[in-house]
Amino acid sequence: MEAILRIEGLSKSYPGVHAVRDVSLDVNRGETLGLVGANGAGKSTLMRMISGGEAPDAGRLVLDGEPIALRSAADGIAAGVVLVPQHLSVVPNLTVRENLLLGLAKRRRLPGEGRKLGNVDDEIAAVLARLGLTLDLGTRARELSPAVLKLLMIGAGLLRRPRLLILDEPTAILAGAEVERLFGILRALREEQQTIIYISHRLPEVLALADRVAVMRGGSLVATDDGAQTTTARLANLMVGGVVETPRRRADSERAASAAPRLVCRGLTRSPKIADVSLTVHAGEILGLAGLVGSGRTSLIRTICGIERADSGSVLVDGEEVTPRSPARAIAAGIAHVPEDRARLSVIPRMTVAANVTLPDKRPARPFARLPLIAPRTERTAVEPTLAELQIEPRHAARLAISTLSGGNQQKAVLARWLMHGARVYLFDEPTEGIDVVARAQVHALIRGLAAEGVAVLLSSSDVEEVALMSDRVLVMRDGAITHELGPDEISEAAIGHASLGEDAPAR
Amino acid sequence: MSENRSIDVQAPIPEGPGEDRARATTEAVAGPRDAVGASPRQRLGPFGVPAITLVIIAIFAFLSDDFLQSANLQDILRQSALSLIVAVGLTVPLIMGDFDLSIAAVAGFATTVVSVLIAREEMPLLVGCLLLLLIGLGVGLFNGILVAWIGMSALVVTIAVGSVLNGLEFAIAGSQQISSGFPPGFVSFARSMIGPIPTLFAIALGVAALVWVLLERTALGRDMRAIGGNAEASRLAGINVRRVRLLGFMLCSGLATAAGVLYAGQQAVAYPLTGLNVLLPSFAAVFIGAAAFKIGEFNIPGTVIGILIASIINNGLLLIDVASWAVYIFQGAILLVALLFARIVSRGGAEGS
Repeated sequence: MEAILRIEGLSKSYPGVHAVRDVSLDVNRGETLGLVGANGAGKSTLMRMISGGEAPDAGRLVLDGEPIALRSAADGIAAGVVLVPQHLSVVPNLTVRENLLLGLAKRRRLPGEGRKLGNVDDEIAAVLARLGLTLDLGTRARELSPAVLKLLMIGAGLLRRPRLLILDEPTAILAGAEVERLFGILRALREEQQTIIYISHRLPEVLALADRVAVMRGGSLVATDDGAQTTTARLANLMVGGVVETPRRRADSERAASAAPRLVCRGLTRSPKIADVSLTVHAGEILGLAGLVGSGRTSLIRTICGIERADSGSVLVDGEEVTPRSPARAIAAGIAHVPEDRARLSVIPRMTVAANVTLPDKRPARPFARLPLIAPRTERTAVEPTLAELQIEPRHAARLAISTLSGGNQQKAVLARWLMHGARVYLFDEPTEGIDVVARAQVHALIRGLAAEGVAVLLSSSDVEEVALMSDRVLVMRDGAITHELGPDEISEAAIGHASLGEDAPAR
Repeated sequence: MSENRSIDVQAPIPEGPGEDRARATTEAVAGPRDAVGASPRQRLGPFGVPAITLVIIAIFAFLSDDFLQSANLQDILRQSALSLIVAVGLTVPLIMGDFDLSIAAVAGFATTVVSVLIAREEMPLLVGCLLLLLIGLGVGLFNGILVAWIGMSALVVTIAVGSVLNGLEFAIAGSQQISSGFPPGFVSFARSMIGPIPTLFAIALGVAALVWVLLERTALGRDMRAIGGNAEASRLAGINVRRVRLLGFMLCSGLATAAGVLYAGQQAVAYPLTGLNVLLPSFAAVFIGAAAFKIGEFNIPGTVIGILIASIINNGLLLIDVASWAVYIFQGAILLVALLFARIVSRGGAEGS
């Protein structure tokens, strides 16, 4: 077997996180290499380094026997390494043709011999035919379904004649029939000796496609298995390293659904993002909120907690109308919100962990209840039990700047903030975004603990697995409205995935 | 929802009202100095500016026999006192990312108008001072409303307000020098000494200490620093960001007014638009301060050091008889060097993050 790409000792760390540690791996010519790992295992970082989107701290890449140094994604494409990212990265206002050629127009030609832009339409037609798409090249991207757009992104990748094509979670937003169709395309590409790295955490899919499977955990490569020999059980074990989570118990779910309503939204509207959303979360219930990125989940949560103002509709907590007009009023009404994008919306980077935890009202930091004075020692003593309970590392974290902690520990500190403050309703938006498996399990346990104490939890996530695992009931949003409700018996990753896409969303 | 389809392209983070929000000298410090494995550069960095101050003192002491004379040292403290009060006030909005360029006009307005009131119109001293203080707080309120509530650019608002105040100052005083009629008690107080220390400098240190307590040991100060660290996260945590920013502007204008009033007593002379020269020195001091102690963050001890450096250089250069134009060059150069220093120190180990 001849290696088309040798990865030699690649490492990358961000402040507080070792994203990828010393990974060495050969990718053989013409193979489909599966790359699996839990969220935060370092798959995406590794792939960004291979494709030039990110510079490694250490290590090197050898492509077709030549060491290469990639400074940008454009370098990667020029070298023949093309990454098709997980999220839809098309420009809605541009046409199919413009989207396919995005970034190439300036160079006036495609990579490869004599492929000028003028006569490239034949090639676009050929690529679309391979994908089984019949599209008018002048159609604007926003008129197409997500599934078609996903195929279009793969088409854009193929148009660049990659020596190595990297697909990051290509099936994440696809439903059953669309997945089968994609697999047909990928098998045909393999027949043509196209080298592919296929990233996913859906193990059966990987096993159905891959010649070999590489497993990452905590930033390291832990195994490279032969696709024909390995099993999903073995891969799952390697991925999580012993951390196994179980879904919520049905009995709990049913009990929660009959408890008193704690959070009620009536006809919440904020055009154009959310339209006439009504929902109820009972005491002790975890209500999952699923839907594609852009379906309005985040807007809904931001409206419930007063960051965005509703045009109409109301929010009730324990039967009392609150409809907050600012985050401060939402907090006063007993609504705690753990937002997405921790770095931008949750964390004050230079402040200590203790100061970040006591931020909402500083009450634990004040030695005299009547004076607005803060004593750092009082503060540390007050927060340390909670930090210990949440197993926030390192042990003396209270006095460290929060930016020195790993992503998972930062997120747990944000949770500690709202645990200590207390609330009747907790809104979580992507609570385990970018944190490792162990921390993810801890965060999940914490959210369950909260629900067990009788608070109402609204959990929004684009991680379908997480929603399926955690929720008592699931609401699915699409285009700003709730389109499906799944009861305890109906919750599954597949059901949520289908509902997210709308059942009527076949690829054209 | 199609506008959200091209998700990978992150929209630029809205900086909130006024895109000219002040950033401390460094965008992002890699980690605190007590992190495991901090480089020597990071551990010693916080003391670089104080060390440089000592070096500057040594150089001037070598070049001029008069420099270390107690009379000269007292001169330095006397010159520092009022700029220190202004600079301490300026530190507060800057910590929250808000520039206030009206400070010089506010201080000048206070000097001239309080002189008109107490020396020319013979208003009781205390009434005049209180009236000015109210006006000063009112200016801060006005700045704060325009910037924090309406969302106008702090840079432009405070320049405009400064210009208006300059005009009003001239209109109220007319083009006449006020040189008599100052209450003698006021003048002698402003020029008095507590032991070897000028009273005004002692007051300035007291103000600095109070503002330090405010910023480091009170809930309001914690909110101010949180807003400077991440305004949106602070808002989401329930802090009333607009109100706190407004208070910052009020504190800044209030202290600038107090310094202007005291300057009238110290000089016992007033003429429109010839008040305290504080704009560059104050900004220089606060930014030099961000290169000391807490690298990359504005902080009160740093501001105190910054003002002392500015005064020492000013004083030393006059003593060794350099041309007066050179003083300007030195002041600007020192500021640039301090910024460069902070940049270099805080980047240790944070390359490319």
